[in-house]
Amino acid sequence: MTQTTQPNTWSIAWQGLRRELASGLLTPMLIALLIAVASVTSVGFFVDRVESGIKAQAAQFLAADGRIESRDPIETPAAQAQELGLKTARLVEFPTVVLAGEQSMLSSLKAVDAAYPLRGELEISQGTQTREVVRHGPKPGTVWVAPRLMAALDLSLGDQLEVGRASLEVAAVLEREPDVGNVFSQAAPRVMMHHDDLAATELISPASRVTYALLVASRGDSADGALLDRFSGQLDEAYSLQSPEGSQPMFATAFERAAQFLGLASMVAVLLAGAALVIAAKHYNQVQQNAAALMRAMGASSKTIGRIYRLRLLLLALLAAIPGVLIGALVQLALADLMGQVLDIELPPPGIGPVFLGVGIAIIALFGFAMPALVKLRHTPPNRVLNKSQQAASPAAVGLFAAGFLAIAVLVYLQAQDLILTGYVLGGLGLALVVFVGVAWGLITLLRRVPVSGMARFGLARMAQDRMVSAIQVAALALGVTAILVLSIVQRDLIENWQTQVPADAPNHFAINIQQDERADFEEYLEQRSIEHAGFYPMIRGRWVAHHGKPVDFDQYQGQAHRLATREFNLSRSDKLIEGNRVIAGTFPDDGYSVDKGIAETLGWSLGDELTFRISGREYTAEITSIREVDWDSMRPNFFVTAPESILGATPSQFITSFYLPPDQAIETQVALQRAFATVTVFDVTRILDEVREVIARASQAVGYVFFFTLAAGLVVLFSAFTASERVRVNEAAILRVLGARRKTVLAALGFEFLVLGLLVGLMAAVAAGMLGWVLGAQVFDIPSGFNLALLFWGALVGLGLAALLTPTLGWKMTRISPNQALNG
Amino acid sequence: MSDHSQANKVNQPIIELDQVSQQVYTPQPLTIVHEVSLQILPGEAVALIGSSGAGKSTLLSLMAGLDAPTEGRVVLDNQCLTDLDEDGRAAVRANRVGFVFQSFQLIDGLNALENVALPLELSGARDAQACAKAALEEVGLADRLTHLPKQLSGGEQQRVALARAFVIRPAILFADEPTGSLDHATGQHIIELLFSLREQYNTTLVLVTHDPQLAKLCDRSIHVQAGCVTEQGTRS
Repeated sequence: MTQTTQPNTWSIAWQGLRRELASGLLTPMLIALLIAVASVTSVGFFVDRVESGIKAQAAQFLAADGRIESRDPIETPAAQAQELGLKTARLVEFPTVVLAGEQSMLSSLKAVDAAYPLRGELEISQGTQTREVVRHGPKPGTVWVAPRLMAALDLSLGDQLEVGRASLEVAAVLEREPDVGNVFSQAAPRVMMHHDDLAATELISPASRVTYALLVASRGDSADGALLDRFSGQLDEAYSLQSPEGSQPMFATAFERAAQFLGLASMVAVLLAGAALVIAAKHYNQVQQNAAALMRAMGASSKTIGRIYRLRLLLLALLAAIPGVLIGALVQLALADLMGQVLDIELPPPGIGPVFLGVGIAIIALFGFAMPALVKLRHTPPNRVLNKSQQAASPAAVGLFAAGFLAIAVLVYLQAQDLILTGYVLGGLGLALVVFVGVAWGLITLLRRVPVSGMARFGLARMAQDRMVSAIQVAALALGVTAILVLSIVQRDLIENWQTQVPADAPNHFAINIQQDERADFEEYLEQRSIEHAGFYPMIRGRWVAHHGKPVDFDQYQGQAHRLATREFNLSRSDKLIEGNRVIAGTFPDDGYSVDKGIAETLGWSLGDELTFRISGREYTAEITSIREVDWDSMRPNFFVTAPESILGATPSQFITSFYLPPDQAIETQVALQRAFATVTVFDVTRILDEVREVIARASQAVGYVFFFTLAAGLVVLFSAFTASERVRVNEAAILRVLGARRKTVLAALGFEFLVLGLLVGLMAAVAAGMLGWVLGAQVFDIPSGFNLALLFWGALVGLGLAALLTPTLGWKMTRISPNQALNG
Repeated sequence: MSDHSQANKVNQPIIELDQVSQQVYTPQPLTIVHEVSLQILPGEAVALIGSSGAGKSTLLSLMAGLDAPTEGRVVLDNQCLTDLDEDGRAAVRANRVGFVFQSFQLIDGLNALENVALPLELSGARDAQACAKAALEEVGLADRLTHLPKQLSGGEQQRVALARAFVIRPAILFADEPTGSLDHATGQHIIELLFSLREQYNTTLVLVTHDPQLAKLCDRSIHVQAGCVTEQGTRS
């Protein structure tokens, strides 16, 4: 009697894998997976580097990886940072009047030590057009002065500037500094000096409004998040570490959007991988039924069959992942090289994360997309060896979709790292998938009934052969094309809309401290010079002191929220809604405070909350009666809190406005305004606007590059998905040729099929992309956008392009071998 | 046409192979068919017999123009196939040649009627559907017109293949093991049908088979062994 032992499933799985790889059966799946892993990892590596690059650039806006501010000298945190191995730099900022001969002017003084800046660069000039990029501040005994102050005080290089009791030599014109800071903190033109000269000025007294800042940065080229977190954790409650992203609300928005666009771009590769694998796995399943039936007939249990195929998939995943990751790493090198030249961003070396992502994606994708289709191999009836029409009972379609959907959910989250974006993508994807499959199934059924003859009928019959498989293929392709359309047309629309929010003639100067009695004169002055302004708004400074009648517990807030809660608020008095503001809850105007949505969320305010502000020693209490969405990018005066005359009518106030000055007239007009209205402070935000535009442009370029790579990968993945049906097509083409069809007839049939399929895919994708773009624009990116009808044209064009690309390529494969070989192959 | 010329035409071979060889490279060159010369007359029924791997099917594919020989000359229905490219050979097949295969070779996505109509549509016939319907009725499948191949039994599928082969009224029918995938009784029925249709339309038949009983139904048998014709038989 033969002794029975456990079958060696590892050996069977490995042998089968080798055989199927050699025979080419697994090639479509391997290629699909390889390209998917390669594209995902290369996008992963690349996005990782671009994001790090952009973040590194963000650090320039802070001149560091982190910043701490205080009204008092910062001693302990500096020691803590140095102990942790962080680089540090100190700076001190305060407003002061500087003198040059007989003339004087209020300036914003900044004293920096030798280590400044820790990130980014400064630009100085010798008064000419040529700018010099430097990574240090002025030497002791010298100052660098902003162009406006140079003009206002008629200064020349080499002149002496009196700063308090010190007399310092003007050594250069300060054209640009990395950490411009909060625009309102630099109301006056800059004078930068060395920290060592500060004592000699004798300007600092206990009553001075001085801001001390400590800059910290990691020793390497990029921020060490873990180290900064440790440092932040050691800080006394009085301090909060400001990150580059939080250094400027406008930049923060730009970074957030850039990251979202990049995340969206990288998702396409993930979705295309899934689409290709579903198709390839379905084909593999069909071919494997005979082998599974044979093993079943030889006595293998369904459990053994299941184990063999699971092991085979695992081996295949690893086999595809290793070269896939390597290819991904190589491709991103070329991409980064190209990108580095265009973007002018120094990209840090890639991290190890995308390697794990690549291997993880190979395993998750194969098991999520391919395993469900192979599950039914376990249940292949053994009598299929005798009767080929015997098929395994199909697992529930819901189960298949659920597994695939779960895989997509995990993959998308791994890529996006953003729950909201993942939620929207998955919601849209699920809906699109159900709708796509349903619509495709219906249309294929309908088309099959269209009374056409000859090759057209053959083409339609080919599609209708297995309606559900064709519908799933169309849906998968449509998803891929949807993603491509979203990234190309919709993304372009979104970026255009976004860029128009900061138009070229957006206000680039703010004027504050305009007294009530000089407001009319100031307005007239601007109008006489045809300078359009954004309106004059009262600016009231007040502190938030009570919530529902109880003193505010500031300790409940951390970080950014703590800073916002404790600092002075800029309130305004207005019965009219400021342009660019939108009421999203409550009523406006009403007898209460109207607050910005962002600050309400940060500080936990909601409609009906009673707030008390102390303004010039008097308290003003009212309920929140409306919440506004404020367009902070508009460069118009905006306020976190506004209230009507009935509440803040008695408060003392000055006015604020903003206006646009052409670059060539800026300095001259600023100086003229300063001389005409001595108490008014005019400051220039052109540099900030330029930086925002640059960030937007760089983000757009980055997305464009990621998109082009994904598009190329997508086409190859889609193509390999089509090759999964190559064997059947070659056989059918051979039958046609045996019956007397010429090559061009076979190509015509194929072309008609792909034309119908391409149009179906393209138009369905166009509609879905339009709707998805609208949802993304309105709900995620907060950019208004309508349905772009041109999408239908582009969708149809993509469909035709697919047909034009696939027909000759696949047609060549179908007709290059003799009919006899094909039928016996 | 005069009786003389008619007699000449009848005696003129409809298939002629002259020193035909076929080599494949695997990667070493392997001769599958070696210097075969033979003639088949119009209306003849010829069986190609031999053991598995002897080269019967390859010989059939060369006669039908499904493959081009590496050496020699093939004439089919007065057309020298050796001078034609694949499209030229397809044009010859389109109007004059029918095929029946062991594995039926129906198009899965087309129903029985569409499968049978396909060769007519390829040659541009206007009444393709009506002719196909009549052909299916002739093989006893009038009630299976809209069935897809997978909805038919093996015997029914082979009958659809027969209808597809005869719908163009072919001068020559090539049949490669037509009963190889069928049980004995069904196979018998298919053979009866095939020979009845061949007789009805006076079609020349080239039949590849292992079955000596089946070969006996033909006018003569050609024995193939190791790619060579060893015996051509005599017309009964």
